Amino acid sequence: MKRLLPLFLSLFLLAGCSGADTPVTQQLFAMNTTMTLTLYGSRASDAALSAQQAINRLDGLWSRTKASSDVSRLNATAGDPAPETEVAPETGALLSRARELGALTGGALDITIAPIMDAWGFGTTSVFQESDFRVPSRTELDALLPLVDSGRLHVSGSAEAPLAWLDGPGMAVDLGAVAKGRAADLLVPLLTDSGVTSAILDLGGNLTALGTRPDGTPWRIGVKDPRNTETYFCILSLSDKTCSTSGSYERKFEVDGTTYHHILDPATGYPAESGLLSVTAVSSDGMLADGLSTACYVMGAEQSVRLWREHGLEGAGFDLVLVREDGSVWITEGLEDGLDFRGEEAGYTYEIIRR
Amino acid sequence: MRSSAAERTRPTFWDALVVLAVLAAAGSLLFLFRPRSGNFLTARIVLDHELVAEIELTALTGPVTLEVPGAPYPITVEAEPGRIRIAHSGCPNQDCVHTGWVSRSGGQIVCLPNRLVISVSGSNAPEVDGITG
Repeated sequence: MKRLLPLFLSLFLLAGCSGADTPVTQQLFAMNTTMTLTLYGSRASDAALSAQQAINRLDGLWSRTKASSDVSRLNATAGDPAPETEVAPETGALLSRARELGALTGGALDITIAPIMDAWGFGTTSVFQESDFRVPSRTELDALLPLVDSGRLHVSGSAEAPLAWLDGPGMAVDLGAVAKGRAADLLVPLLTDSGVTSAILDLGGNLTALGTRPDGTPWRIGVKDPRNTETYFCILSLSDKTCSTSGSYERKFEVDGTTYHHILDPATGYPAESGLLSVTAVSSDGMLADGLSTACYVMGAEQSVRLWREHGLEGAGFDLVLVREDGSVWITEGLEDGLDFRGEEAGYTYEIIRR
Repeated sequence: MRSSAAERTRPTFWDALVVLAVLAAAGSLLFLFRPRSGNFLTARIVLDHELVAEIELTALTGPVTLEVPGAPYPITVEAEPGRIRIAHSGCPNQDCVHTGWVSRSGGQIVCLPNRLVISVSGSNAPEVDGITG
């Protein structure tokens, strides 16, 4: 009987293995999108609950559709003489960082673009419908463009009690281009503190691969085919990275045979026409990835590669997948390891971009 | 005093039994966790976190339609062998209808105004852990 004991023990351990490999999946609706958290670890259920609470709290701070949010209060007092709005520490840090990203991208990312978004109907509603969209006139856009200026968004006070204000009447902030990435950055330490070492956070198509798969191999993340969104054209091998994708296919409408999409160029007020179908930005800094996917879409492939060559190794660093209208895909060299390109049949070709 | 087990040099009947038992246990575990053959697709329709229906797409022999009960905007799901879509929806933005057919494991259709999510999963392990876009 003594001989059989190790056998029973080993069976017991094997049973334990299969349990640890079963993730906890939490789905939620926040930030005007669906989110799915897939968490591995013995305390994953508790972690999922605290993650959900954290996301809802951030949504309550950064939403433009909730009247009590930091962003709504900041926008409501734009241009007032004594307007400083007390905001949460997370909001203060986010606003400051968004301004830095604006400077880094030469203004291609500007969170004060809200008045232009509203003119097109891409703005404040939580549920978009065809009838919300309209094509504003050049005169209307020219009158609104001076309101798009991150330099006139001021953040002061301490990190614990920040103050923010917009110094022009009619100015407004929209955090749609950075909020999900920043939310992912804030979720990661919360999850790892709860013992989660493997997770996929899907915040509305912004994917964060935390750690590695439970078996120790990198996560495999598909990049959506912008011409056929049911499938993906390549698979990236990632660990401890966030990837964010911006594409004209996400939200668009058609008037008189012309299609208008939602990625607006802060310089012109029009949907960006930069020769790109989509941009995926990858970084261990989620907010950087999120902001860069929008900014690089606006900048176009050549300028994005220049930005990558000059700044791609600074701080957390970043890499890019740029899908051009002619079907050529530029992938920067940091993503070459473990790259699985599947786009040939769909007419895509790829090239690794080196420094 | 040394144990009798340490003194023995030749395997006994009990040693053989342990080896056999381990092999049998390993074999049965492999059998229990064997990858299933074929590509079975299942669609789970979830309305505001409640599972409304589960459809075995590969087991269908013809088209099936389902009016989702309790949806804020009337919504009709259509399933065919191996694929599923939202055929009609009373929601304002129609993103769900525009998504079209989903026939791949890991695919998803979302109707945000209805808080409805259809997830398609297969018995084959999906090739990717997530999709960005």
